[in-house]
Amino acid sequence: MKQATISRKAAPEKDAYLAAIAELQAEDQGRSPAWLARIRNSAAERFQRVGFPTTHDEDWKYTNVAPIVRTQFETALEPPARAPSADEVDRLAACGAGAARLVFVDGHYLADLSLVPAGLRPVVSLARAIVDRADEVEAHLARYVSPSESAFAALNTALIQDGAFVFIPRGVIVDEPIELLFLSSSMERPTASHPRALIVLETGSAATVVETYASLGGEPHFTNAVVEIVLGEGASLTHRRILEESERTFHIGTIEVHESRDSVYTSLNVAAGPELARNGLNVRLTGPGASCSLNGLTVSRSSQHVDNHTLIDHATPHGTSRQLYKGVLDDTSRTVFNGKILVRPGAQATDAQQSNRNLLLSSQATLDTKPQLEILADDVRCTHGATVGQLDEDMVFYLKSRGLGDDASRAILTYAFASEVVESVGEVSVRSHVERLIARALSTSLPNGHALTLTLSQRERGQVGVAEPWTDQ
Amino acid sequence: MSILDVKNLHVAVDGTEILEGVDLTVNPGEVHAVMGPNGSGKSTLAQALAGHPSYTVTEGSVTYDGKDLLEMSPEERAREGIFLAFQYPVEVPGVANAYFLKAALNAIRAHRGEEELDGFEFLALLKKKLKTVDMEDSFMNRPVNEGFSGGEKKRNEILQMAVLEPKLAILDETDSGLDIDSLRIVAGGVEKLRSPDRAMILVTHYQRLLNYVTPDFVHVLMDGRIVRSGGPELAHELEAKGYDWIKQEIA
Repeated sequence: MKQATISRKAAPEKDAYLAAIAELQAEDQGRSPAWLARIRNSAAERFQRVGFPTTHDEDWKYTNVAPIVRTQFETALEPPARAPSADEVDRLAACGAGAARLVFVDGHYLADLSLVPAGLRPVVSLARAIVDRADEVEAHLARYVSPSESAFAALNTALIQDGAFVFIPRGVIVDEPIELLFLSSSMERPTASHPRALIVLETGSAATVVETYASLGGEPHFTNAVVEIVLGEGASLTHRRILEESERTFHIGTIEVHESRDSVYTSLNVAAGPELARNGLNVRLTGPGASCSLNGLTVSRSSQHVDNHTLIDHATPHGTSRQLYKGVLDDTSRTVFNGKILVRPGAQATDAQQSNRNLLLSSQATLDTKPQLEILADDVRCTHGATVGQLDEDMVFYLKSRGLGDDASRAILTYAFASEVVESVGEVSVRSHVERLIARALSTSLPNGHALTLTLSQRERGQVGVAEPWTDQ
Repeated sequence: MSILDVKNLHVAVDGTEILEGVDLTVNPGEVHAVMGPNGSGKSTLAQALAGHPSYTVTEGSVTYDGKDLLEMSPEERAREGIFLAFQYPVEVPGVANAYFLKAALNAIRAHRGEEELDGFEFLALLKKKLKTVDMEDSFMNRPVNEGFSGGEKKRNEILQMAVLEPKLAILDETDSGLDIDSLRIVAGGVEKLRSPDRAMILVTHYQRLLNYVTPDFVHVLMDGRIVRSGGPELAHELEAKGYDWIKQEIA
């Protein structure tokens, strides 16, 4: 038995997690298929072997995970006794009611609160897919997360029970977004959940997946998520990842994207909530002509800490990558952007651009921005830039000179800075959800509501004959 | 009663005194042109009246509509009816023109105790005003001044003025950098807004705007002081003789 080899003495901060792994193994009683047991066991061994990262590790230099490590979080191996109400779920979801939606609490799928249209049947819980679609799951699960990933990713894999499985078959285009809503329960004892998602788009297919993380209460929680994304040839995925958990949440996310030839990956990462959030996003362009476009936005205040680590691995020729990460920092918050672009030998005609722009609203806030370019091919176009600044006082004066108050002027300009990364979001409900989230996180109340375009109903538009494009809601 | 009464105004920028005692009285309905060579302090006067924080009033007084203007914040001045058309209109990325204008108009209306306009009412108003400056509707959904040509930016200033309907409009070199078509549109906009209860101060380096808008008074600002005042004929004289002529006369 594997668990017999697990020693509890070496690292006391792992005790609670090792106990959870042992409990899961004991309960499983060989019910899981052998391949899954192998995956879990090898991850458990790795978790036991490697320590939690410290600020001595280059990749974790700016992010101290000690507050996570020293809290004895208890892993939620079962869904909580009390499920949230449908209203609560509707309120927390980013996509409108009626959209395809898988709902999880502490990483466990709640079928009653989920909705999957008949045409989208391969969108199921991972637990079910492990039984019903074992071949597809086995072909991909845990195959992309790099073996050198941190102990957090290994811990997640060692505890795989459930999660989301999104499978879009060859050539299928799904127009409506699919939401994966990961809720964390609010328990008296600090609770850990280990959400998992596997998203597979076969050749020529297209979909939009919205991952939303929210809290059902304000108790301490540790979310340790791993998402694997596999894009077949010419497949196109639009991916939104929205972190809006409570201020007593720690969130570690590991996202691994594997792109084949001519595939397109478009993402938006928003962090506006957790006390500590770390997104490790690795995109590997493994076929010629693959492209990715990553947008990110962090809104941080009080003592929040947000760390975005991206790696774009250009492994093949004619790859394109675009990154725009923006941050608005207030109070004593701290954000990190570490963007690595790796252009491997032979990845000729790579075109990579990276930009990190920040707005500091407080002199106490701290920003660490670090581009890392490792270019091993010679025919490459690669640019990067980082800016940090305060609100432009000429803009503030311009707005005030038209009658807008000081607070309103600053709120409008701050919001405008932040919302730029949201402009490209085509899903109306998601965009409006994120806009509200930004306004809330900035605690601003803007004249005319949250959208800095003028909102008109269809009726008004028809009556005054205003030319397109007006933002409609 | 005058709408604006400037007395012995001294203004410094970064510790350097630019205006050294300006006196100027403007009555409702009047159009005043303030002319002068580069560096004479024309823009300083305009910015100081609008309340730009970089311009420090070191001496003198400004009474606007019976109130002490210098005690008022920039937004209060705007809400009380002062409008500055900027020499270099500021680009505001991410904020749509229509949104900005509606927020500004409603801030001013709220100050006056008037009902705020909803989207429908505002757009109906805006549609009318857009014609004043010959602007396409599509301008309104673009971010404020971003990517606008020089002429478009100046027309946008005139549009804002038309929507906000100030009591005192100060146009800071609104005519400079314009091609002749834009100049005609801007001048036409100014002329349409001329009314018995609205005063205007046209700050300009050149006489050419005054070919389209005839001022009631012309003042020459030089080295921080108004050195000569007269009627519209003074502008023509300046055009013909240049500023050096006055310099020699006052030397």
